[in-house]
Amino acid sequence: MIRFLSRKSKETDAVKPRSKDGCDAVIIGGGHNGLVCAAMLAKAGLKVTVLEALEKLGGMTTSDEISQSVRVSTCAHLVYALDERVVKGLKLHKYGLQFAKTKLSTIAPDGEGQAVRLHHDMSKTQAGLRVFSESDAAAYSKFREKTRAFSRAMETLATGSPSNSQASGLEAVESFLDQIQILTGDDRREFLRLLVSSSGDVLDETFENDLLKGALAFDSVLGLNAGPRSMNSMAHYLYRLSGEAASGRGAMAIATGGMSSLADALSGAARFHGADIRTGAKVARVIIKKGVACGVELEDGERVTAPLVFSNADPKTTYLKLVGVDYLDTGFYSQVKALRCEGVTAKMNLVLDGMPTFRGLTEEDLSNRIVICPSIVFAERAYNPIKYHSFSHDPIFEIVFPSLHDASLASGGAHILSANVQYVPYKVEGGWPKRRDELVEQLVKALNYFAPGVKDRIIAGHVLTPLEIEQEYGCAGGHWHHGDFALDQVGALRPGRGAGAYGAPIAGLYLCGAGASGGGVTGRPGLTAAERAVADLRAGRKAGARTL
Amino acid sequence: MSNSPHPWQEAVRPSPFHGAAASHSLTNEWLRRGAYTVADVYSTVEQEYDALRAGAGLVDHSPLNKVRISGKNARPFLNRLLTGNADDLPLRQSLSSLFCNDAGHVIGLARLLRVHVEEYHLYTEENHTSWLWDTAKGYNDIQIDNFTHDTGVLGIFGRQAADILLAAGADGAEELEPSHHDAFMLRQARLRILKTMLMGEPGYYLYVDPKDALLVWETLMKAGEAHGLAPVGRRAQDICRIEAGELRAGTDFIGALEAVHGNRPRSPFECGLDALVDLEKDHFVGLRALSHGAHNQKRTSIVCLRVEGTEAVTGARILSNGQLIGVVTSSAWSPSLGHVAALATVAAGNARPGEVVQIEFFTTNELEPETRKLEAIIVEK
Ligand SMILES: Cc1cc2nc3c(=O)[nH]c(=O)nc-3n(C[C@H](O)[C@H](O)[C@H](O)COP(=O)(O)OP(=O)(O)OC[C@H]3O[C@@H](n4cnc5c(N)ncnc54)[C@H](O)[C@@H]3O)c2cc1C
Repeated sequence: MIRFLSRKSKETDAVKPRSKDGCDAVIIGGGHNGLVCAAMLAKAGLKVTVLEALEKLGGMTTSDEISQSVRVSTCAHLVYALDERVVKGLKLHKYGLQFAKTKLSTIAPDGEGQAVRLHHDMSKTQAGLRVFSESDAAAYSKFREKTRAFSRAMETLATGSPSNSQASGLEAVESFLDQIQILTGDDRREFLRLLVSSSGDVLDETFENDLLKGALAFDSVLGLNAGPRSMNSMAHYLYRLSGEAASGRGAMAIATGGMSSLADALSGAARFHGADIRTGAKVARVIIKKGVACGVELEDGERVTAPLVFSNADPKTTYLKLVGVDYLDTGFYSQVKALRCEGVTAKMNLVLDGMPTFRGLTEEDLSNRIVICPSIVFAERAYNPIKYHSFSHDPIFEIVFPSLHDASLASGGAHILSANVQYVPYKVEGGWPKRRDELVEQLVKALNYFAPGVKDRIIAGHVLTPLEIEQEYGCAGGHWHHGDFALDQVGALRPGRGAGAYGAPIAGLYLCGAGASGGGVTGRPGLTAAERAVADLRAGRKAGARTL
Repeated sequence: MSNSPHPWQEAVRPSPFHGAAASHSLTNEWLRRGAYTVADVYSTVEQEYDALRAGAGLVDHSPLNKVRISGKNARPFLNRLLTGNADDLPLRQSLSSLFCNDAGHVIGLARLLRVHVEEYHLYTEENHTSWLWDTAKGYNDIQIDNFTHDTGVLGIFGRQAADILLAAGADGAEELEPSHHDAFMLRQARLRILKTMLMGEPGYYLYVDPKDALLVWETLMKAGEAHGLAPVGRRAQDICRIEAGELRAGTDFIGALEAVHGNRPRSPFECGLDALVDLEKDHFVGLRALSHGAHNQKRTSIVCLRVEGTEAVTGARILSNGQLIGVVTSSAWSPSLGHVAALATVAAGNARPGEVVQIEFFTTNELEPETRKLEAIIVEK
């Protein structure tokens, strides 16, 4: 049995490892969540081994050189939801985490000369909104306050799991209701209403201005396989806000050196606490004996045994591939197989020979986050084709220019336009190899409307479709959240009824990535998995073997 | 051949043995079982009962649902499906087992025969093909097909069964060990014979090509003339089954996939089928739930009852000290025991042999409503 020190124990008081050669916990995947989990467990005194398939760490939270001396963040580019407990708890700044720019504003141009500007500073935002609508300016602060408050309930909903790991459908609903007990009376009713509402409806009832509604609708669907008229979009908006709240800063930031600096800081902290981190180590399967996970086998046949196994891989990969059907119950297997996890967010990095201009935007605007989504209808139109495995000619974009804040990313006057784009289907009619060029052309053309002339500035580019994200990062479907964030796929129902977020049905196997409770660069799934496992160990139980 | 998992999509049809069975039916009383009609009573229940207990009974088991599972992954699939250890089932042997859902509730009882290295036959009372398909998701190289209509099943049970088979010319069948099976010739008919126990009697199942059904029936009947063989209908079978304490799915417990109310399905332990569950296995569907502490606390148990009087009391309420504790699920007058034998589900903790309980049911006496109260004793199963 592994012994634990109290939470307050000194980092240096290492707990005795289980055996000389074996380790206490093995973590499949060195995405940012796997690294957070590893660092937290190592800090708690466990002997931890991380096995990452790729040659680099970070998973979707990473950066790479795409042409000579140009570094881009290949997937995630903005840090807005990184949990304070991770940053402070692991002293990430000590391991090199720095932000080149924080408190980015959101600038939403309409392409015709107007723009809505949402700043960290509420009164500044309201002053800007008043130009469009007095009532929107007043409603905006109320809306932010209300949705921020509800975002905490949303967080408990997403990260909470039933105390009963064998929960039936009804029990899952009950535990869901338990988790929103933190709200009272009218608030609870309103929260439940918002949960099942579309962001489009909520924004329509709250605001007048299309541009403002478009900018907020964008946040409700970024990373989600749904449009602002879809049921789940408001819940997803609340989830996003819960990340902002947990990050303490409550604002967006750009990491110095690109996203891999976060992965580097995390691995630095994990290594400091004694974690062994290996790259180029692809796990082929989880070893299970008598229903209990007891290690992993790598593709080359090497085995790493440990009484605790954590998976940073998505639920489909974890269960269907690494665990395998032989160890899963029929109903659970079917649920995981049926998880909707096709991503819709593509990443486009363009290297430009200089800064472009956007219609109606100032130079100062370009150092912020630009959201191209001029109305709810615009976003919904962009979403429509995806239902039929196609893509829109007018996609929605989130754009930043990291090189404006961090000169080390590109040299010689070149700049990087980093964009998250929706909606790009995972599967496209006709097949991606054939239609990829058409997609790139459309994206550039659409962008060129808002930033006239930008297409002539491109000197290099890098686009990742969800399919390519799947291939690159081993995440089934290439989804932002490792599985769509919808009410039937969150909390106790994620990844399957009764699995309850972290406590997978296999004893000793925990999910610790976005698939456990939701995506984003938050570190929360990794942190929560580590906390659960430590609590389980102290109570003498394991995931999946939770007693009633 | 139909792969339909839904029996209601199929018209009821005569069993492959119907022509022969009909010629023995003096009553013309038929009953729907699965996709077929089978005889309820051929002559009289008493005669058929006596034949089965004293000589041998010929029983049409064709309504059994039959599924062929083949391919490389048949073995891991079945080992995951069934609560028993199907992993090292040798060729030409069989396993009596059951299968559960994720929650560890019994879906159905099953008999598994391994007929080739990579081919198994699974026989169940009800049609659960869709569950098998669901459970097979994730395996490649596996074929699951329902061959219910491609095979007739005849049972011959009773102390004379072995002699009758020998007399009929199924050479070698008498040497089968219990739960073993093999292919045999009976006149021109190629068939598979399995030795087992049913209704408390030793005997055999014969798996027959429908085109040979009448030939096999007539050959057995002829060979059985000197051994007291008679065709036995459902009513007499039921008496023997209850006497032997054998449960029937859908009658003595509700299969997990059939139940609408969440608290109706039963664990194998609640059905008293602990012996069919191998908790030491690496995995089977429902194992996790069954190894949970909560499941070992049974909510109900199935017991045998000896009831006063002569009437069947199926559906009657069972009371103990005035408290409702359960319900009778099967019952019949047992000629050999000399009392009414019953199977019942009672709240756990009320299942001690020797305990006296009250049976209560509503009836009419010359059209006057009446509440009948009888005494019963819980007996060892
Ligand atoms: C295009 C795009 C843009 C995004 N932009 C942002 C953004 O700006 N801000 C933000 O907050 N979020 C963003 N996100 C979401 C965010 O990037 C992810 O939710 C988050 O990075 C997931 O982290 P993770 O550690 O849980 O999983 P991952 O990053 O997917 O890590 C999983 C790791 O496991 C490894 N692995 C998988 N299988 C195996 C195996 N068998 N053996 C060994 N290793 C294995 C993988 O190689 C990978 O390194 C974006 C997502 C996408 C797709």
